[in-house]
Amino acid sequence: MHAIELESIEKIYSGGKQAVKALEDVTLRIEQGQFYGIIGQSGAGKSTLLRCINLLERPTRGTVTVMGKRLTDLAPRALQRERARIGMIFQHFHLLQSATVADNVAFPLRLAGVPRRQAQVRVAELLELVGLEGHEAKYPAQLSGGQKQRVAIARALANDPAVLLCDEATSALDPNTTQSILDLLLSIQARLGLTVVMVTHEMAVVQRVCDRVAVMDHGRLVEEGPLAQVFVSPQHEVTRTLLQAGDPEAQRVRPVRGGTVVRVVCAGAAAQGPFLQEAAARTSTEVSILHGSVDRIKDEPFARLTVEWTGDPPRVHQALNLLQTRGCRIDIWQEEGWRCAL
Amino acid sequence: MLSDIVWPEIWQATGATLYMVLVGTALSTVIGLPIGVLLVLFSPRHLLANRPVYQVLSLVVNVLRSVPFIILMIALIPFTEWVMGTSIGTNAAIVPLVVGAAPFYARLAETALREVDPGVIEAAQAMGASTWQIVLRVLLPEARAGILSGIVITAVALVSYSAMAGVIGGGGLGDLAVRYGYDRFQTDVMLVTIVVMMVLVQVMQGVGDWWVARLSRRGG
Repeated sequence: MHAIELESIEKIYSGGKQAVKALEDVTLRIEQGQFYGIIGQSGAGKSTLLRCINLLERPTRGTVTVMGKRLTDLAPRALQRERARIGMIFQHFHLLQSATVADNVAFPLRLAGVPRRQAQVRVAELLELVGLEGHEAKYPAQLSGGQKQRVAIARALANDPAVLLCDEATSALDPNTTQSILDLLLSIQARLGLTVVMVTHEMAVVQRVCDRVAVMDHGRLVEEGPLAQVFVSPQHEVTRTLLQAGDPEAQRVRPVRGGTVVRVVCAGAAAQGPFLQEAAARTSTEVSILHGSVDRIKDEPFARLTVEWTGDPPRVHQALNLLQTRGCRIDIWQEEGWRCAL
Repeated sequence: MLSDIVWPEIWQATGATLYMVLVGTALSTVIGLPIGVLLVLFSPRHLLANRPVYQVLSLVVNVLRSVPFIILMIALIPFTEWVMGTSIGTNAAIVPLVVGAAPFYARLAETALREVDPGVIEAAQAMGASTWQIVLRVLLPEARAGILSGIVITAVALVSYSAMAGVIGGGGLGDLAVRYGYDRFQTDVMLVTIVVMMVLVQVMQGVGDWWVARLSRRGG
């Protein structure tokens, strides 16, 4: 069973003079226990899509099924019950300003009619889970952004949800806090076997936590796949733009020694070991790194390097072929821009 | 001066004013707050968005608020008689006071409730809260500082409304000021009643401000 199934979702806003199509024919299936990313530029419809999952936004057409229940068919009361099993956190936390940390976390329990005593025990558990013991009596105004998001996470987990929706949950946080919140989400997801759906415009966030990713553009789903696949060989222009957004310098690299400038992108096993040197040595050519980095996507190594290859052109070609057989994506730079593959 | 002031009458009038203000404020809040909640819920893009209902409700509130109190009081005499069995006296004066102040308070409550972050309401919806639960557990607690400061404003307004209650034999400080200060040219009585009313307003506003500040410090 899939945790979430979105079938031909369409959302049209017909409020003003002109109808606006926010989502167009989006079909998406998310497996249980996955950390799923939805990425896109602002206005691409990614938040709207996320809000369709718990029907905060009701699609104009299409069906939404979460944990086997078709939400789009439910009566309001039944929908409220199902919503309680879908956690959600937001960019601006949305905590009750007039309630303490403990009361904020207890809020969904009260809604569900859990007795006070029992709720107290659960709140203590949850606050420990998110690392906020000792802050029970504080008000949100007394907390930092990261702490507020931790309260929101505790609140979202109160009813043991199977699914957690994150709407730009780290976009209002500084880089260090973002890291710690992402670490927390990862550990919770692993511990509880949650399905997490995370909307963000930051590739770096997706890169750190997601197993699979969907790319949205102008209300459409333009690309979808395992993280490594999307990062190594992006199919859609928007995906490439998003990938390059974090590394503008890569666009400015030019040959230094009259050789061939090549961009090598690979992930997993292909990105391990001295693969550039190996290819150069076996073809008696030389390689020098102009720009780039080797970091990680989720738990795999991920290399994105711009190199200059010098030597006899057929041999250089041979070296690049070796890399490609290894599983690397190769782009060659020419005057008019990057040319895909060989 | 001040030698022939009838102090017992002044204290009695103060008591009558306090009675009208307190009961009037309490009833205006009890009636105005739900109206304020409905005004918010029915307004466009809110939980129960319903344009016709909102417009009718809004119109009723505006009509009641646009009638000057002195006229409202006289116009309501038959209604007051029907409700209280009499149209004369302090209790009878409370009816027009409430009819005048409840819509006023409804607007103040509406403004306070509108300040509640829509994101918080949305978060509650995402947690499966019903509209009723959102009103009770989100809207009202989150807006409590504004709701309270609206009550204080209404109480202060009722001090001046209640001064007109003398017209229908409601008694109170306003009535005393007119009967002694105006009819008998006893300026000193007039001055004393004004001072008493000023003290009343100061005390109510002071206590209210302190309480609102206390709620706000907690972020409410």
